[in-house]
Amino acid sequence: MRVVTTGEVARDPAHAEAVLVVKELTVEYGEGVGAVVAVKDVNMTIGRGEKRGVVGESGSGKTSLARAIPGLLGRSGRVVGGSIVVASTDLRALSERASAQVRRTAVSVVFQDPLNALDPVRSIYSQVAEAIRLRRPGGRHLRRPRMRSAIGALLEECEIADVARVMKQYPHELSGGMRQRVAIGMAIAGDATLIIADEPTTALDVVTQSEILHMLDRVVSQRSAALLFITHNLAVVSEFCDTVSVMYGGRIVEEGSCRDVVRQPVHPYSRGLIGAIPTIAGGRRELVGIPGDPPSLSDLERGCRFEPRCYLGHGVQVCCAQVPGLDDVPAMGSSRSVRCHLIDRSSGGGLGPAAA
Amino acid sequence: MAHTIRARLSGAIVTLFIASVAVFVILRMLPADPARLILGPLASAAALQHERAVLGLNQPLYVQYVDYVVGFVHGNWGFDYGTGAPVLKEVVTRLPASLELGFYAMLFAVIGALAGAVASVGARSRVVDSVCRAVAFVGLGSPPFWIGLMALVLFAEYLHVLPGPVGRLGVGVSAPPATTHFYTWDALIAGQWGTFANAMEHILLPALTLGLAPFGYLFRLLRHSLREVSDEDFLLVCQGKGLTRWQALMRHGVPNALLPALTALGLLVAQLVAGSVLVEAVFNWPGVGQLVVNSVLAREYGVVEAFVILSALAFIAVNLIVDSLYVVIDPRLRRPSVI
Ligand SMILES: Nc1ncnc2c1ncn2[C@@H]1O[C@H](COP(=O)(O)OP(=O)(O)OP(=O)(O)O)[C@@H](O)[C@H]1O
Ligand code: SF4
Ligand SMILES: [Mg+2]
Repeated sequence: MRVVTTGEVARDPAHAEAVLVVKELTVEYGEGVGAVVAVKDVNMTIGRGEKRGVVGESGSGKTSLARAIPGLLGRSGRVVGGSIVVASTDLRALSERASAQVRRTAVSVVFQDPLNALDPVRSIYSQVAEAIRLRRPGGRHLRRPRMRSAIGALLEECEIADVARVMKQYPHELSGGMRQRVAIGMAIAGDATLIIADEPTTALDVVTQSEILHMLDRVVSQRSAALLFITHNLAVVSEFCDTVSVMYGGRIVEEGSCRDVVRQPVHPYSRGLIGAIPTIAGGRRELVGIPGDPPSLSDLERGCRFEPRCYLGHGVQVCCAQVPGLDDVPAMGSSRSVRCHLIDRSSGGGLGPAAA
Repeated sequence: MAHTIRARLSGAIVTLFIASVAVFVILRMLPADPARLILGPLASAAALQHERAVLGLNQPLYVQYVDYVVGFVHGNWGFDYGTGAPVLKEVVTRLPASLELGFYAMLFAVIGALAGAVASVGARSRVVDSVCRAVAFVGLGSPPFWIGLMALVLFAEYLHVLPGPVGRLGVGVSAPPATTHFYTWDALIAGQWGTFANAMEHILLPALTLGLAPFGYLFRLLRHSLREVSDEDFLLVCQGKGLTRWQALMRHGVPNALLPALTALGLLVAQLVAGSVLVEAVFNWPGVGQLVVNSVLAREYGVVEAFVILSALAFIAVNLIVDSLYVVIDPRLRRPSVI
C-alpha cells in the first residue's frame, strides 16, 4: 500500500506531522443490489498546516468522504473498508462514545448546506453554548455571564457583527451566510487540529464567500491545523489550497500540489475539469463542462470509470478491462500521482491529443 | 393576530353549529316518541298529547332547536327520562370517571409511542419496531370494544390476573376521600395504598384498550418524523460537536420530531372521546360514555345531544390550546423569518 506524500508539505519539517491518515477508505450507501459505492479505496494524508482541496463534479463522492472521516454518514451510509487515523487514533476501532470524544476534541466539520446545519428550535446562544461546553476544556463549568462573553468572542472571531442580538435569535432569523458563520463558530469552538469543510461557501454570495474563506484561512494558520477543503470551484482551490485531490466516481484520479495540478493537469478528467486554455494571468483556469454523465456508482466497476467519457481512452481495450492504479508520475515531480493507463509517465505526463 | 383569532372563533362556531344541528336532526328522525318513553306504555292519547305540548314537540323543528340551544347555554340540558335527574348533574357526576380513564389512556399512548419510536429509530431495535408496528396495526384496525372484550376474556376470565368489568373499584372497596375525583390520585393523597392498587388494577385494562388506537396513530407519526429528523444535517452537526448519536437524537431530534405530533393532539382527543363510549360500556365504567350508551338505547335525546356538543367543545378547546402551544414551542412561528 503506498502512502501518499504531498510534495511541498513533505519538504517542510515543521509540517511533517500527519494529522489525518486515511487508507483504502470505502463508503457505501444502501444494501444488496441497490448498494452505491460512493467512495472507493481512497488514500489521503494531510499534515499539520496543510490545506488540501478536494474537487470533482457533483456525485463524485466528496461529501461522502468528508462525512466518513468523523463518522457522520447518517443512517443510510457506512464505511465498509479501510482505516481512518486522526491524531494517531484509529477512529474505526472506536466505540460511539469514544469517537464522539474524538469529534469533540480533534475534528471539526462544516457542512455543505448552512440552512440545515442548525437546530431550528434552539436559539443560537444555546447551540453555540453546547459546542463550547463540549469542546473547550473547562467549558462545561462556564456560568451564564462568562459563557455569554465566550460565545461573543467566538462569534466575533467569525466576523459576526451585533453579536448580542444574534445570540438571542433563532436559525430561521439569520441569513445563510450568518448561519454558516455560526456553524463555523461551533466547529472552531475547541482547538481541533483537523478541520473538514464541505463546500462551506457554495450556497453563499461571492463577498460572503471570500470573507468566510479568509476566516478559515486565519484559523488554520493560527493553529497550524490540517484542512480538508471540499469544493467544485477550481478558482477557490487554486488560490486557497496547498495540495489538491481530484475525485471522479468515488476514486481519487489525480493528486499533487495545487499550483502544479491546476497549471498542468494530467488525467483526462482533470484536464476536462480544469480546461485546456491558459488565461493570460497564467494561474487560474476556467471550469469547463465535460460531455457525458457522471458514472452510475451502483454498477460493477470494470475498467476505468471515466472510459465512457474519455477522449483518450474511449473504447481502448485496457481502459475497458482494467481498473487503473493511482501511480506516481516521476516526470511531473515527486508529488504527482495519476490514475490512468494511457499517459506516458516518463515524459511529463505524455500529454495526449488534447494537450495544449 | 386579530385576524387569526377571528378566523379561529368563526371556525369554532361553525363546528359547534354543524355538530349540534346534525345530532338534533338525526335524533328527531328516530322512530321513538319521548312522550311515550316518559309516560310509559299505558298512557292515554290525551296525556301523550299534553306531554308533547309540554316538551315542545309540536313546534316546528327550528323552534325546538332554538329552544334547545337557549336552554343549553343556560345549563338546562334536559332530564334523564328514566331517573328524572337533570342531564347536567348526571354528566358532572360521571365526568371524573371518564376524565381519569382518558388521562391514563393518553398517558399510555404518549409514553408508549414515544418510547417505541425512540427505541425503533434511535436504538435501531428491530424487535421493538416490529412489535410496536403490529400493536399499532391492531389498535388502528380493530374496534376498541372488541379489543376490550378480548382483553377481558384473556386477563380476567382466563388468566385471572386482572379484575373483570366491575367499574372503578372492587366490591367492598370504598372510594377514597374526594379531592380530585380521580380515585388513583385521591387514594395517593389520602395515603390509602390498598385503594390505590385496587383502582389501578381496575383502570389498567380499560385505559390500555382506550389508548390503543391513539397509541397506534402517535407511534406511526413519531416513528416517521423521528426518521426524517435523524437524517437532517443539524443532527449530524450536533454529533460533529461531540455528542453521541444517541445524545443528539434525545436532545435535538426528539423535540423536533414532537412538533408535528402536537398537531395530532386534537385528533387524538376526538379518538379518545369516540372510543370511550363503547369501552366504558364494555368495562362497565361509570363515566359519561356509558351514560351515552344507555341513553341511546333508551332513545333519550338530552344526554346524547349534550354529549355531542360537549365533545365538539372539547375538540375545539384542544385545538386552540395546541395552536397557542405551538407559538410558545416553535420559534419559527413567533417571529417572521428572514428567508
Ligand atoms: N444518503 C444517501 N443515500 C444514498 N446514496 C447517497 C447518499 N448520499 C450520497 N449518495 C450517493 O453517493 C454518491 C456520492 O455522493 P456525494 O454526496 O458524496 O457527492 P458529492 O461529490 O458531495 O456531490 P455534490 O457536489 O453534489 O455535493 C452519489 O452518487 C450519491 O447519489
Ligand atoms: S484509464 Fe483510459 S479511460 Fe481512464 S482516464 Fe485514462 S485514458 Fe481515459
Ligand atoms: Mg457534496
